[in-house]
Amino acid sequence: MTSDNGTGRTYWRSLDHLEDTPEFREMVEKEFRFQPELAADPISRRSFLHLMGASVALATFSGCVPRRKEAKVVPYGDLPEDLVIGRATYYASSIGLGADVQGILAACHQGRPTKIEGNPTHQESLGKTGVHAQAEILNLYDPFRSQAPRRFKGMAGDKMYHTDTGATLEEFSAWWQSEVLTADAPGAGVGFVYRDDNSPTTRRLRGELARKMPGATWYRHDPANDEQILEGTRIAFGVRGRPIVDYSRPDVIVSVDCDFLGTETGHVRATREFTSRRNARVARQGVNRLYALESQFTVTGSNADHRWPLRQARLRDAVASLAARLGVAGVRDPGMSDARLETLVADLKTAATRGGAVVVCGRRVDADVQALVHAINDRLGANGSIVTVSPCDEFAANNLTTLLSDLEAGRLSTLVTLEANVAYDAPGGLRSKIVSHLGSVGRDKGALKRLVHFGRSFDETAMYSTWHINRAEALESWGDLEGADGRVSLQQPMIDPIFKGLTEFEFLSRLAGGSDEASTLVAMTHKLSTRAWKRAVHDGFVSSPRRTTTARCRVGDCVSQFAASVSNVDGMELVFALCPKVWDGRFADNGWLQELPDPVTKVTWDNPVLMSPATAKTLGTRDSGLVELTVDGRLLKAAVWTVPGMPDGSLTIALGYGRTGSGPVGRDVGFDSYQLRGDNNAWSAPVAVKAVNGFYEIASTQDHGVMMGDDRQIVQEVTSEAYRRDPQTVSTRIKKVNVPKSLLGAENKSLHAENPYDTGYQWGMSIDLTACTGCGTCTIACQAENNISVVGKDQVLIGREMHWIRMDRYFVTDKTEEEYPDTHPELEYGMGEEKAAFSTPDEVRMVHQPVACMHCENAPCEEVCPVAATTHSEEGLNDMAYNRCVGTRYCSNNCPYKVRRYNYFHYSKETPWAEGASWYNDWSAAGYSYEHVPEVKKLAANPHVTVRSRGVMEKCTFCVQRINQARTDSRGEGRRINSENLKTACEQACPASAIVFGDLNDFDSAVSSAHEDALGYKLLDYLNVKPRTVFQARVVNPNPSWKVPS
Amino acid sequence: MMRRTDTFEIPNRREGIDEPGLVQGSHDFHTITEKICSINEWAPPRAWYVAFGISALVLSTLGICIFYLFWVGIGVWGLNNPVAWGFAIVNFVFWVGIGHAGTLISAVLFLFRQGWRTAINRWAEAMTIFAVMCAGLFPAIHVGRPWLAYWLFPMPNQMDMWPQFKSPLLWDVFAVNTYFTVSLLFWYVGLIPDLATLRDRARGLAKVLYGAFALGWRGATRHWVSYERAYLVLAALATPLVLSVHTIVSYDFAVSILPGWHTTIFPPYFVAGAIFSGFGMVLTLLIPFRTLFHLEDFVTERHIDNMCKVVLATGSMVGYAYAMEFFIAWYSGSTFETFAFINRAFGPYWWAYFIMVGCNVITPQFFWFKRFRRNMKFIWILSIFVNIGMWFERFVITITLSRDFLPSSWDYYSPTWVDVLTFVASLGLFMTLFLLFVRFLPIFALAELKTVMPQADPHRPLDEVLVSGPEKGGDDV
Repeated sequence: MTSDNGTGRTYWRSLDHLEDTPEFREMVEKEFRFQPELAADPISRRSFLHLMGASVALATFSGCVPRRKEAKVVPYGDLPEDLVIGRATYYASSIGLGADVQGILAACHQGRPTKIEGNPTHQESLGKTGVHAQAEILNLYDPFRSQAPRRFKGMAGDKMYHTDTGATLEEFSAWWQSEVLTADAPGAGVGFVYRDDNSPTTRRLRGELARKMPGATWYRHDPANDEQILEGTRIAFGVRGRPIVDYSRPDVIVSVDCDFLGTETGHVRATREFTSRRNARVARQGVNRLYALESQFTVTGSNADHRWPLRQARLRDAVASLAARLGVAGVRDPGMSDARLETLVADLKTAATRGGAVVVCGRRVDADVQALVHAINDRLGANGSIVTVSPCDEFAANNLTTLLSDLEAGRLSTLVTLEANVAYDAPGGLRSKIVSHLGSVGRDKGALKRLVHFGRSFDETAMYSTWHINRAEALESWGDLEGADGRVSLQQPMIDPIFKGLTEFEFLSRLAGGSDEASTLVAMTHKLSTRAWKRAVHDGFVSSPRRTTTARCRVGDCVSQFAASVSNVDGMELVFALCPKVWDGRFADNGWLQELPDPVTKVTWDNPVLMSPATAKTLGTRDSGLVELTVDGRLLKAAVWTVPGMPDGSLTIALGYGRTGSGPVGRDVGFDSYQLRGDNNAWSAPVAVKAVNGFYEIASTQDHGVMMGDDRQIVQEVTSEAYRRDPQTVSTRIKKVNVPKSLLGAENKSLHAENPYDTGYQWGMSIDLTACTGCGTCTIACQAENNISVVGKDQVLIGREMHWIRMDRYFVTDKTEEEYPDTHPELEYGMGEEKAAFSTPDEVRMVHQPVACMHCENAPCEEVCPVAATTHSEEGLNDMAYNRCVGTRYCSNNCPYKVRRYNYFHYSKETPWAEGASWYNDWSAAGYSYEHVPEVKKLAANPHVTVRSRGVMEKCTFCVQRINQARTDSRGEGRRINSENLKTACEQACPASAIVFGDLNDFDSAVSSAHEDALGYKLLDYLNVKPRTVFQARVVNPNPSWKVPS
Repeated sequence: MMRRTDTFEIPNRREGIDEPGLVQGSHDFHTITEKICSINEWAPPRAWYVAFGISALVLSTLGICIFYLFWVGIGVWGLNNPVAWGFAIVNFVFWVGIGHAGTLISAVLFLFRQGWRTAINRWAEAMTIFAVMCAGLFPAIHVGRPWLAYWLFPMPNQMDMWPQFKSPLLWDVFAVNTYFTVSLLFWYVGLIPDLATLRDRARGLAKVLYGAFALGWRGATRHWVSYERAYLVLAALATPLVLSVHTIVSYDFAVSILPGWHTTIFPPYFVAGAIFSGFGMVLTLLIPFRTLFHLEDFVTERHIDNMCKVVLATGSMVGYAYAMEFFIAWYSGSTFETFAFINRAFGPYWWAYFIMVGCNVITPQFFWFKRFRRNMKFIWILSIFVNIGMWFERFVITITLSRDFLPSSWDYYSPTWVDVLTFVASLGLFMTLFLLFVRFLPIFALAELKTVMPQADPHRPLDEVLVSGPEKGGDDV
């Protein structure tokens, strides 16, 4: 055992390695431990926290707490007609992530947004959201984002001599006018690096600025780009754009490394469309069929009926074979001999003549392969119907390679970075060279003299800046966003910029010498009539049709540009993944996202190298072991996490971790995989891997991934075919195990009179496992709605995460028990051994199951609480009286679903930091007083939900605050609550509409029919706890002729 | 140690069988008084100071642990989501169990007129009191908001809010409080005549204090009659507690619905285990003190032998319970139950399970043989094993939490230094109190001890009385 930071927390725990000797562990700790900056550093992490905390407090004292736009403040002496104190007001806006734009409604309490819902009228979201939109609230109230413009003197990048002299925006404008703009040739020697935010107004102002500064050079850098997709469309259709796939139409979908349910552009819409053909309601008619060809185990792969693990380098061959066998003229069949290919071709051909079939390609697939897929879709008749191509409007720019050569040639004296964090997320080879040039700012060497950094936070690039200007967050700014299909959504501020940040286009406008207000700038772009503008602001989008091209797919070009051969088919390959949580690293400071378990690996706060258990064995490493990855001579030491179902020899690592310049939440979390990324933001690379001594703890929320036998009856699956043949198949199966033989046919009589719970409202829930994709949006939505604390990596390691609704994930193979080798994974210590029992050729599937409090009618938790802190309401809710709870934790022990969460520390009072620092250690040592929470963080809390204190048990309440709100509303109108309009936070956010909540006493409600459904079953029914949540068995649609060669 | 048995073969009328007397050596009533009181009246041996110093030091860490716990939160312990109970509950059950031997010896053996109890009942009762004090500590500090722990008591309040009477934790509150109260009264009532003896021999402040607690005892017949009546009533009250307290403690587990906890075997199994562990602890304490204070005449091999037999009987019951748990888990046909038990023995905590089985099932089997029941050093070592085994039994039961119904929630529990130190510190509390008891109170029930001497037998021939005079004994200390 070793203790951590002197806190005495011992760390020999689960998933691993009890046999590690203390000496070994100690050696590991010394060798591989991220230490905070040493005391010699003038701005140590802790003093930084201290200062930041204090400055936040000052900032909030200095005015009233952040307010609405000052010009519009009306005292409530003249109460606005629609405003009721204590009720949220909803405003439409939108949030973008690359070309992924979601319409939102932000719930505001007295001018403070606290929760984000999907905008029901917005075409991309239709009332649903993804995880990032849900987590946006925390981005807004992040006390560690940049709070003021700063001006630096001295040597860039040097913490000792790069000093902040403080400045204002006005001073910046004056400086820009005098130092940069006065040159004879305007803009000569000036370079702009931007990350495209897909805003038409920004694009317009870039153009304006470019006209004003004709000498300036523009560079674009986005580590999460869709470049291959755009190029593929260019080859196939002659226009750069994105294929927009209507997933609700095809019967058969083949995904070629396309995580369209997880990380691809438009995944919220895709999830909604895909699950509209795959849910319990349509299961009787048959569900669609999804094949996934991929290396990384993605969320999409986990929802596939058949998942074909293929190394990234083999995808090209697979697509070429498909094309050839489907009859795309001119494609040479590389001759992959796999029976699965024939099955795939046959199924695609059949489906194409019926409901439709489509092959989709992810952003990691090379452009020429993308083009060939367009040709296949042409062959399948999908183009124009299932797939439409939407051209994108781009601002011409150079790439980072050009930036480097310009820097090397000394052509740039001033560099302006617009949210492009090149010192962090540029590909490893370029990054070090660019950074060395940035280092010449403030030193008498090199051509680069000035660096203007515009960004949300004072990040890695800002360390080299002469000027830093802080950006405003989406919820506090005007703006417009153009979606992948060309339609424009509008943003409006919910709150005045808390730290007086500017939007990117405001900043560009100032650089161009303008001084227009943000709203004016947006309005000028769209040139709408006042009436149409008001309408657009109200709706959150500008009504317009999709932008589509009428160009036909040029199959000949697709085939001729396809490069058949590829090197490195046999060596180890490393695939880079966009993290479904922190994305490319921009959300690293968002604790909700950091702590959200990865949908597939269940890992929080880290990005380990993912590989198959067999690969790990070959390399001589295991879960939490360390490997050295070398790409082109660049080296990264990272921890290993095995994932059954990944192809051997293929490694995946997520981008966006290992940040050194983020706030304390994301700093030094995980491994900086950009270090290994090839120039041009390559998505995969041949890699040399070597296991090295060492151990790195990975905080996974689920240590066990097998369901431990059919008798437990946890996730029930049924094939579409079997369900059609016998709709009662699931309930028959459940009864077989759960009802003792002696009681078969007899009524289970209770000893005492049970409450029938048949009057008034009776709340219940149903969860459709067919629809659920496992994305985790419900978890974040719940966290935002219910003020759930983030606990930090060290607490997750101990097993104290607080999520009220968790996403359980189990691995499944369709082998019988006898077919397994003689292993007993159930008795092993952790996940590693269990996972090793899955051999690579097996088809490993995955099932997801969201689990929250089931509000059992015979709740075992209520019986054992000695102080009656948890009791049953007349409406069937299992209520928690936080004030009454003394914290014996007996309820948690007695909960068969283990959904109760305990405040082991005063989590709600402090922000836990990552890097293994203990929660309680930090608040005391960092100079935080016990009572101190940055004021700005408090603003994020939902005022309708109690913030829990230390020593108190908490759990899902079925969003009782929403029920009560609905009750108030219905009483006022003298009617019953319409349970169709009453949605819990998880239900409201779920893009798959898998969760349904409502009144079981209303026999017409969706939840009532789900409870009656033949697919419905109660988890652990045999305990007779009578849960109020019903799961609907997962209906899968495997192809009977699919055979995995052994 | 065997030296006097052959010279004094006095048939014990009460036992009616031919076995060595309960007081060895040539003692009369006076020498016994002198001998026992001298422990309190004279400076203790150096070993006492050493032991007391260590115990007090360890005890002081208890304050530190509790302060740290209250200041920072329950999170300083190693608990996690599936395992919401850890060391605190393990220690609670462990200490309550220890207490049971005292009650059994003092009450049950009293009612069954087992003469050999007189030499050990005072010890054992003291041990009970101190063990229950240690036990009571843990439930109080293990709640998340200890400043509200009083809500577990049924107190009238403005909220008109009663505790939830269906909860076994509440039954615990009543069971343990009743147990502590009755045990304390029983112990104190038994002490009164001996306190009076000490009062009569003491001077100054000691006389005042002993006098105050002796409640004016003068040894009058009327006093003795009342005393005997009170003692009998208290013994009758305490007897059911031997069974009820640990039964109720076992309900903490048995009433839940968890596999591995929800079993009807728990009450008898817990009671047997409690007596087993209690006798283990009595032996652990008695054997060294017996040597330290030269008490071999009073705590004879026969006493130790009897205790070893109790350990053997209860240990075998516990072993039977272990086997039966497995059988029923299999016989139930429930996948959860079967797994819970296989997992106990072969899962991640297999080591704890085998420590438990090794110490509790195998150890007592040595006591089938007289040879082992007479070897003090050996018994002492085995008694330590019993203590360890019984602690681990509670650990194994509690930690069953780590793997229940849904594998997704399974997790491994490891204690932190605070967990471990708090347990060690509770040992310090126990030993400190015990050493103070040894120092300031008569460690044997003087009056009772005299009743089992041959001299107290009204039917004893006078010549035997003369023969067994002190002049022939010479077993001076």
